[in-house]
Amino acid sequence: MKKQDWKFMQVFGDKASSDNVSDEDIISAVQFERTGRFLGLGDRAGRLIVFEVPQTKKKDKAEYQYLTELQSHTREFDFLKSTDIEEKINQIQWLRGQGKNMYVLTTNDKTVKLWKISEKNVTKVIKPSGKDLAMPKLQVVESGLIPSVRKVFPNLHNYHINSLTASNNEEFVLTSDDLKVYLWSVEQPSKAFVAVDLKPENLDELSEVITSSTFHPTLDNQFLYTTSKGIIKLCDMRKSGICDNTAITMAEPEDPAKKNFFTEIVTSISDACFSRNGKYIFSRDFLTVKVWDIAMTNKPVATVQVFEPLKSKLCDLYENECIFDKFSIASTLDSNSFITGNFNSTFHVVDRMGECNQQYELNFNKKTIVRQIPPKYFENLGSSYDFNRKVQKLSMCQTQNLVAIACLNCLYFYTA
Amino acid sequence: MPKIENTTGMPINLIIDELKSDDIRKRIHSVKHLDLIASTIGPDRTKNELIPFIQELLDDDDEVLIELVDSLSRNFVELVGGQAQVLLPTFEALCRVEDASVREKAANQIKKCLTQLPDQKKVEELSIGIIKRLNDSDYYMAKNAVAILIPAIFNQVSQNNQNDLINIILKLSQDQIPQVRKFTSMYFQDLVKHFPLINETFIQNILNSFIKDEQDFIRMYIVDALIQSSKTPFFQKQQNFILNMFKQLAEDQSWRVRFYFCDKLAEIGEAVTKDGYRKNFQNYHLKFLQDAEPEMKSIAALKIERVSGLMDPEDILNKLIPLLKTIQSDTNAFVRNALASSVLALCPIIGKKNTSEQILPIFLTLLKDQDSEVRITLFKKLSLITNVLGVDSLSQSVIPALTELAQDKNWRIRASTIEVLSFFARAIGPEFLSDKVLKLLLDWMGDKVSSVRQTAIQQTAQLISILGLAWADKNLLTKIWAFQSIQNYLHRLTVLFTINQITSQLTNDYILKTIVPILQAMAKDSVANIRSNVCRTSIQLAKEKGGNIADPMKKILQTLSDDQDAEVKYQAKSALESL
Repeated sequence: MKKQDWKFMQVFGDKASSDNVSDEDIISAVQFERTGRFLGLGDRAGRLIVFEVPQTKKKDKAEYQYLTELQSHTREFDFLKSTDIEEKINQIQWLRGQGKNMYVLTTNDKTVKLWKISEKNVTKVIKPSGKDLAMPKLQVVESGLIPSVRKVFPNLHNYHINSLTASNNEEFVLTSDDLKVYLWSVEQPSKAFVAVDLKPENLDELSEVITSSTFHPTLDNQFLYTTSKGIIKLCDMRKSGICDNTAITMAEPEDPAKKNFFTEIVTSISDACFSRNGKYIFSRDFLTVKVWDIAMTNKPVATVQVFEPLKSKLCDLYENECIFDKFSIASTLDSNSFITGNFNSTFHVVDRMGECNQQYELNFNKKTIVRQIPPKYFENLGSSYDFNRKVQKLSMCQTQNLVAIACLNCLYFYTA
Repeated sequence: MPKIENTTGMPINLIIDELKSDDIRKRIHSVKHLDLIASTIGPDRTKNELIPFIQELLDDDDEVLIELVDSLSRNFVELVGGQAQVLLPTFEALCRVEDASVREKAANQIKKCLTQLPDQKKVEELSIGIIKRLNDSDYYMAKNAVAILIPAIFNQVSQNNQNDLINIILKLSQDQIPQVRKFTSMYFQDLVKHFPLINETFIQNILNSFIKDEQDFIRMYIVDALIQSSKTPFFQKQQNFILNMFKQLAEDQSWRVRFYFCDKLAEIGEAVTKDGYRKNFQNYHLKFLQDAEPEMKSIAALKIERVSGLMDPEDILNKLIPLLKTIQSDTNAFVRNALASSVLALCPIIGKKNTSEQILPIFLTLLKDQDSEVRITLFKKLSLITNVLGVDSLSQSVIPALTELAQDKNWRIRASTIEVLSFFARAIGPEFLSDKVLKLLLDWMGDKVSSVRQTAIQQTAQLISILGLAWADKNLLTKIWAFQSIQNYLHRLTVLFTINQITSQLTNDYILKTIVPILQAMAKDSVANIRSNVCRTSIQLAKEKGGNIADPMKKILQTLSDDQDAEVKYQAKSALESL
């Protein structure tokens, strides 16, 4: 398989701002729009920031530019549970645009919103109707890209929403929280269908929660969800209403010999995706990536140690709680490799056989710093290894080999 | 047309200004009263000023647009002086919005406006223009309206235009965006009605391309197109084609498509006639009753009522009823509920003996179902079995079940059960309302929960209208009047609320004889709330009945206008003034 060479293309952010980053600027969601022309970014302050590639006649890859932003969610208080609902954006999903209008779904822990960004003229009344009952005279006060909320999907989730995806045909939206996966109709947000329900009769018996869910890239009837026990379930909406009963399970049986205190925590899947061609599933847990062939469900075709030196640091990672960090994963366009993030401003590109693991280091010098990580690799992670520089969110463009990677408050673009 | 009266309490110019208010509720309010504005300024100014101004409102939230399209649908053609074509550009613009219900209503209004234009050539010109513009729009959702409009005007346009429209539909059916194909599929049923203007090959080509579509919601609507085409001569010519396609849909991999097929079974049966149904589709229905997916069992059970008329009674006995025995104990309550709502429809078809042997056991099992909803659904269809087997034989089992529901812990169940009584009264008659049942009604009138008491009072009014005042007085009302002496004042109030509810059904004689003494007694009640309600009841009786009732009511109110409680005094005095 041809080795993929990714190169630095562009960065938003610099060292100074990165060293003194405020919590609310940390990027919490990244997503390309389906044609690759736009990119959406969500942060902990509840903002959605849109970048675009201006349409030029030049053939070489133009760079992304800031286009517009909007305040998507604000902090709310849940009166029933006496807790805050954070405004942090958890996920972004783009829908097909119409004319010059952009449509994008955003969600925080509880509420999904459909935003429309369009070229509008905002008018105001300068001469009201008088005794003659003439129509009010209007004047344009603002012109340009104005966002407006088109739909709000009612607060249905009892727990925090961890995933949001739209089906390829954009009829359905899938959202999941700890115990349920809901299917929404984009047209009618008032009705949602429970596709999966993991709630046990007795909540005390709860041992497994849902950690993520996603639709198949092309087949609108299939989706997968992942659990904290490292299990992946592939569901087909055509077979039954409640999809869990007829789902295909992919799980690796636990090896009791290798079990230790941390096993349960590190087997929880943080993110999973289908390969672009829909034949494989890449699932990311804390230490490894497992590659599954959908046709073979008893064991993965490959298990890749993302960065083995972390294994020896599990105690420290438990202390500083970094062991609970979640990393995203994306498939490359040719479905032969996957990309996932790591600590210390690094991300990995690995082929799906697990033979070639390349670690890239994000930097502000516009350089591509890459090194090969051989199997059975060990390195002493000294004090310079920064666990705070986490590369948790990334998004793969669907039309070209271009990936957007977020680290703290900075956004990087790499191409191949 | 007469001018519309301004009942808003606001000056018209303010309503006009608020069309562009920052507050969405004010905008909605103004949009609701567009007809008032139009009526005030007259048809010419509406045409020249208001309608163009509405263009400025089109960029608003869905909530406002829904109100806008509804508002414009009400007699606006009259308000523009009868010139329907003036409204067309506005409706055309509303066909481009994101909300599907607004688009559909706007398209239907375009249809309506076009029918009101006298010049046929103009209609053709305008409609083709609208369709082509919407079809060429950047906004793919505008094609929804295209799919709605083309069937509506197809037979009114020239051959050349018809060919153009056919080509548009062909393109839409192959559009890469699934939603566009969905619109085309949904409304294809309207287009096939124009056979033979629409030729055979075209229909077959389109249906063939839809059935291969990977999207469930596109294959689904083929059912409707096939039903409609079965009602045209197309059916005679292409019977096999239609039947084969129906079968493919009945066997579709996706349960949602099978569900839609099952939902339309009755219509399919009507279209292909009884013989066609029995030969081709009966088995599918029976198979659906055994489907692994509970939603399928549920829809199949629900349809029993309607397809039973298409089946041979022998088949019902030998093939259908055996399957019901598993369904009656299905783990899903909604499946059992579906069965409860339709199984009793079989009774009149299979006759008394078979009902007693086959349906009665199912009926008795469902009567004891753990889910109260199932039991209530069953009750609503009770007349179907009592007509066949007679009330007496059933009251032994039904009354205890009713009593149990009447005392259910959940007040909503108790309230729903009360409504069942009027079903009985209507369908079976007063014999069913034995002492035991009437005692239940009285218990409900004294229920702890006020909503239950309210529903019981409403039911009493219903029973009087069905069974008459004389019956009600003898069996029911006398006992209700006895509530006057209950210690808890809330139950004494029930007496007054009942009088309020049944005022229109009382005769003046009855009022003079029975009601007036009650009111006179309660006007001396120690609780002020009661006396206050006596005022309300008295004024209502006086106003509604007039005549010889007014005087006794006035006397009561006069007594109360000297009451020690300020509120009662005020009420009595203002009541007297209004008389």
